[in-house]
Amino acid sequence: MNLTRAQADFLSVLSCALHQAPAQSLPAQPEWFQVFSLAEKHHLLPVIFDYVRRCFDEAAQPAMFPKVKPLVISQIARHISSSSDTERIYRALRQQNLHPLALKGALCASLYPAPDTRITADLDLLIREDEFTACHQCLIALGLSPDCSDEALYQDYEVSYFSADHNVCIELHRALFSDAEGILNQPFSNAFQTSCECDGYLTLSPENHFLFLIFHAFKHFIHSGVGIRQICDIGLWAREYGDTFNWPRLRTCCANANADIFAACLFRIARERLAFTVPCPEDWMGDCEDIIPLLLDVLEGGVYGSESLSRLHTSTATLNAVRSNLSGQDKEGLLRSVFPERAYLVGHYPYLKEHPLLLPVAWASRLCRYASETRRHKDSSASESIRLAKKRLQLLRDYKILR
Amino acid sequence: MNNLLTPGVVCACICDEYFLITTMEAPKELPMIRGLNETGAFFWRRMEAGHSREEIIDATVREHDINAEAASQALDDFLLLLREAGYLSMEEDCT
Repeated sequence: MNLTRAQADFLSVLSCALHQAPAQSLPAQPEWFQVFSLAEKHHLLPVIFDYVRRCFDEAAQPAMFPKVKPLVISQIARHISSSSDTERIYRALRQQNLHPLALKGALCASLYPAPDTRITADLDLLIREDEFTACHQCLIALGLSPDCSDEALYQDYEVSYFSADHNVCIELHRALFSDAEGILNQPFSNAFQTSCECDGYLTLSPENHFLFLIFHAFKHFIHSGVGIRQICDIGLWAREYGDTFNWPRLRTCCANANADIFAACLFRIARERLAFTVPCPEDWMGDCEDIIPLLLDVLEGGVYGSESLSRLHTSTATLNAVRSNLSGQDKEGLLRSVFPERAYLVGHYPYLKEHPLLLPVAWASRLCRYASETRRHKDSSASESIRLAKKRLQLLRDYKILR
Repeated sequence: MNNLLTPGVVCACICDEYFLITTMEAPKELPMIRGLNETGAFFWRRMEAGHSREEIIDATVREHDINAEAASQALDDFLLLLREAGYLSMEEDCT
């Protein structure tokens, strides 16, 4: 099991882009279509293209560069538009004497060689519960609308707000992770007390934000996969702030969530494939014996592990396995991916709230909907989903997430 | 001259090309993105920074090695283009 040449070239070009390496560092004669396709799958096309176009004189550019350029310009322009709005909205929240903590992309972007090429889909904000209503009212006054019912507004742990054209999205988080992922929230109980300023945003302390990036990647990995862009964010953050971290504390927090070996593998990928200096203790990094299975899952899964419907559908199997493992039950629950619990389905079939006995009806509806989806999308089938779920469950065992 | 510009529009350089990009605050009839040449971006950014007409013309003369009359004409041509395309929010104060 090894990377394909296209995957290896993609990682090599990405590493060059992240470090603004001289053009001579590029791999010899990469297949640019494959490299750009992988970059697009991981929402890194602007990062890579902005770098490689400057490595060639115009006359020597590969033929497909002019064809890719308009797509990149479009993506960056949309990002500039939406990020200008989210920055303005954030300043408005602060002017109301509110204290939202910015997370993820808005902060990581400034660490990229060209920040505007690190595309962000939304602005994630951690909100104090006593400020939620005021934040909600401020966003409404600024022209955004919540993407949920009034009831869900005060129950869900995260609420998304969109502009009329859906180009701007603000996500308010009452907690960093849902109750189902509660163990991941434990290290952040003092998030607001230890917050700091970074690039005009209030945010978690650098160490807490690093831990959050790891746990966020962990959450995605458990669901359906994590993209290489999150590992880029982690590598850049470690390079910038890693010398100030309490690494033993980070290791303990990760171990409590069965994420320590997973984290070690992320650090090894960042160091060995993306050339980042991650000042992690070597004995922790050594806990990861083989990065290739994880790296293949990362590259194949796309930016959010959402490359295919089959992959998305594996999430109930992997989630059930992790929850069962953490709660001490011994079933992996592969069949539960087809027959999930009522609590999982209520969001899609609201009648289950009032009529829990209709659970078998919801199961049948879900199977029918899945069957119709597989007819529409060639990349999805129940057998493929189950095959992929078994493969991903084995990854969870290999990296000791299931113990 | 920054009060001439329609609010909610940003000037950005992407892949060595210049563009005017609209945000939520911009009028809906403006396109999301419009190309701009280097001279236009030069003028826009100085207008956005609040430079006066005289300051912009002086900077143009210095940096583009042309005379004041040519710089003034170029600026007027640009303002006319912006006005016709909807990127000016008010008439220019000529005093």
